[in-house]
Amino acid sequence: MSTLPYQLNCAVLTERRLHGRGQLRVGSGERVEPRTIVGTGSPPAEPLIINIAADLQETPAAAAQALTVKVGERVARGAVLARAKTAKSVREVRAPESGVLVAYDQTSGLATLLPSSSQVELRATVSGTVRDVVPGQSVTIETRGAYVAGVWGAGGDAYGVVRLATRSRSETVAFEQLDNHFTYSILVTGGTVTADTLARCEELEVRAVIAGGVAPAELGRYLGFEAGVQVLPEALLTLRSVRKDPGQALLIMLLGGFDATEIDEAAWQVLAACEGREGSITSSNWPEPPRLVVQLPTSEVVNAVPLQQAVLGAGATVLILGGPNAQTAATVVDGAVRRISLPSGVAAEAMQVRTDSGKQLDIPVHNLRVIQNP
Amino acid sequence: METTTPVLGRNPPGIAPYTLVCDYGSGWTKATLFGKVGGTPRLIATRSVPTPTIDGLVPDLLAATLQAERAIRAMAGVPGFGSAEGDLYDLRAALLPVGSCAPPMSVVLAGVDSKAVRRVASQLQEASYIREIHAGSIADLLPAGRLPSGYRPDVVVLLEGQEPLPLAQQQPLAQLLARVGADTRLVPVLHCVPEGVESAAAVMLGRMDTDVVRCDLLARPPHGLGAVQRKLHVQYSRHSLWRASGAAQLPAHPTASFISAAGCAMISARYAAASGPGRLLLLDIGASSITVCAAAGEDLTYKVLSGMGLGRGCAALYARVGENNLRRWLPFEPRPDELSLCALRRSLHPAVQPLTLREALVEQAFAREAIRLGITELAPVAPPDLVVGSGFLARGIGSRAASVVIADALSQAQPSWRQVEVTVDSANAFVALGALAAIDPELAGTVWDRDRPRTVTILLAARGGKREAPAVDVAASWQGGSMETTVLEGRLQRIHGAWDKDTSVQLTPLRGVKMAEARRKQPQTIALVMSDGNPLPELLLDTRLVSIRTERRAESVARALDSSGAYTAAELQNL
Repeated sequence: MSTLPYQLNCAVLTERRLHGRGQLRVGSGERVEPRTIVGTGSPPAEPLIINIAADLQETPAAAAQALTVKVGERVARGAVLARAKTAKSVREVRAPESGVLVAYDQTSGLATLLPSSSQVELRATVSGTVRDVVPGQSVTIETRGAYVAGVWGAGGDAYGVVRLATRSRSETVAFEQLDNHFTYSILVTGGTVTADTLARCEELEVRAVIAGGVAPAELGRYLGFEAGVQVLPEALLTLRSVRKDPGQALLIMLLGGFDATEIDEAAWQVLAACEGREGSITSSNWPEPPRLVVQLPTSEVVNAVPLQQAVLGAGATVLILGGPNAQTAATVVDGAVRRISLPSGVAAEAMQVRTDSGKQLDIPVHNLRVIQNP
Repeated sequence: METTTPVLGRNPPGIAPYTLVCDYGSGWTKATLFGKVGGTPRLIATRSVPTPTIDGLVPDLLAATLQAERAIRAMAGVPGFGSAEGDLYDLRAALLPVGSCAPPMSVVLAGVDSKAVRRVASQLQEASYIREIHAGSIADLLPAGRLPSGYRPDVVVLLEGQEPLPLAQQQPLAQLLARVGADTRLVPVLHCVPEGVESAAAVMLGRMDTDVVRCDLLARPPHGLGAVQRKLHVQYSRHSLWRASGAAQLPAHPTASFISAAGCAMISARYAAASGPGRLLLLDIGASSITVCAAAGEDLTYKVLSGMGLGRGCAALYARVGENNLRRWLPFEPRPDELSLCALRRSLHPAVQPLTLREALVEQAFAREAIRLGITELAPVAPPDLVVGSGFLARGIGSRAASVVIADALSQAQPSWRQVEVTVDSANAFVALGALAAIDPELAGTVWDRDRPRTVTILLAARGGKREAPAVDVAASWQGGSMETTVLEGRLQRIHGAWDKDTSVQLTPLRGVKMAEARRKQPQTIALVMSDGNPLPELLLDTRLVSIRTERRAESVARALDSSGAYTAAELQNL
């Protein structure tokens, strides 16, 4: 039961969950921005082993006598853990971090200090209003506006102002056309994206690129593969980040796929409505599909509804997947399911669809992706 | 029928009135309905539907169950759960979930006693719910590059020896746990501590999601390691449920184990081998896993290649087998990037079906390589008497085409295997009956004897000798059909004429001749047996492609296809 991939005037729920123990900082009804820290968590800390005996130049047993802190006690950073006096000097061992002395081994002279956990900040990543809070665990943020789901993405999370770089959904942007106007933005380009465009985006510190498709060879060229070296599909799918310069992070989100040549009309309309608005993209690792969430002004969002489920029936607008008409938009004719034998020899349950050019085709129902409900 | 898979939280319900086995695959959900017909337990119907997902990510098990149940009810003609006619059975009580949708786990196995680590690793590698194991002493696993960058295992198994973990090992252990868990999530730790030993690692593990097992890892099975395996199985169940969020909405099974689909198939394979042909080879080509299982009597060897298949795992399969190995199965020259784009497309849209002949041939090339890879990875096994195709081989293509695909792959992976009988498990009976056996072995055995997959009456031989040998001998036998020998000969000659002139066809009628004898006399024979008048020319066409694909270039194949008139000119142009 998939949601419709492109929706306007909807209420999108985003759950943000703490890792480990922690505290939430926002309450129900509070407004948040992508940078808002909604909570802090404490992931398990890494215990430190301190060689007390060696540092004091004593035997383990003598070092045990020199401990100034009992096992189980809390110590501050820099506090003395052990002290040994000699005729000429006083030797001390200090705690490298604040924490709890959890063990001392009498045979080796090693002590274990469990540092206080470092705090990890959890950010909202989207604009919206906190709708639900589970104390110590998670918050759910509601964003009213637009929603666009892609089929593939890499690069983590990003937010910025949505800017369309082309005038049509099939036009590919030339990298020479890109200037500072797109810095820190979520750049949307029709057609496909090239290696040169990606490199230019990185140079301009564009935060994310949304496109119909990208040829694997172009993506490989951008990532630094030598010419002629094939980028394995698996490597593309499991790509965690798309960055040449470690200081930069560029997110890529594809709406069609690696062989798509344009953005479909329904998606383009939604993206055009988001022009100039701040949006957030979440693109975790494949197979999780990336998604763009854009908060729109209250005046533009009236009676926002929860994300709608896709319904495959008469009148639905669909995208054909695979075959000679791949990525072509069509309309389901009557919604009746017929058992047919495909030219491939495979028997399938199919629906009749009509393309924009008026062609009637029988397409297996599993090859249809609903992009607009009847 | 025996059972080897533990099932938690479910009382054996028998079969009354119905049991619905749902096998949730990453690509397709296969439902099989068992019930009593005339007082006798039977396999009533089977259907498969694409596994619905929530936002294209996690399998929506509730939706999958309802869709599959609706489809199977329509097919079987029985009123069902929530229907207007009233509930004939309670879906929640009838459901027996089989989980193959959750990928097997990735495990880090760490300890101090390297002997125990090696022993445990070697035995756990056989578990179908484990994808990969990174095993070693704590010190071994720590250096950079030992574990893949950004590696996130599903579970860490920590083995403490007879002595408590030395303090000097605690910091490395903490570093290891921090590395694999980082600050992103808590990694479950299965902490194995011998009886009577006070754990020294407990302090740092106190903050983790730790499950402690008291056991003697060096004890002989089933003691010692059995406890670890049981805990890992439970962990796998949690892992499955965690990934499959719809499961939380199935009130009858909030905590019950999903039975491993591979495990179910293996139960059936062993039973089938013991009660039937003797040696059986099961080839299950799934969307994101490839399972190859060889059963001979009570012996069972198997290999699960997870993350690889014809759906989500297609890109991984492509990476593993390589472009050239795929190209050799194609009777045309693929465009640059055609195969890699196909792999990407299938990974992004696993349920999409091939629309053109060209797409179907590419898909079948992937299937051939999946089988070849699986058999190559399997430990050496004796030639089987029966090969069973499952998954894509049973549902993605027709049984004849599946047989050809299997024969081709076998000829590459095991050229010494001369002749094998082939069947396809189109009813998903191996998994479904294996699941039934997990709760009621005797009942499953009864159903198996009546409703096991029948041989599709096609006998194909992996040809002996070199692939480039030009001669192709064809022996055929049929029963019950109306085809006369002369007609058969004529058709063969017609196809013969379309072949390369170096290729010869010899027809050897096998009517009344024992097949075993024919095999002995003609070890290089492709033998076709039809019991019910199957359309022979089509079969031969497939067979011809088997022979030609690997040894002729595209031109000669296209010429052959054209001459035979089997495909239209337009189709040929599309190739």
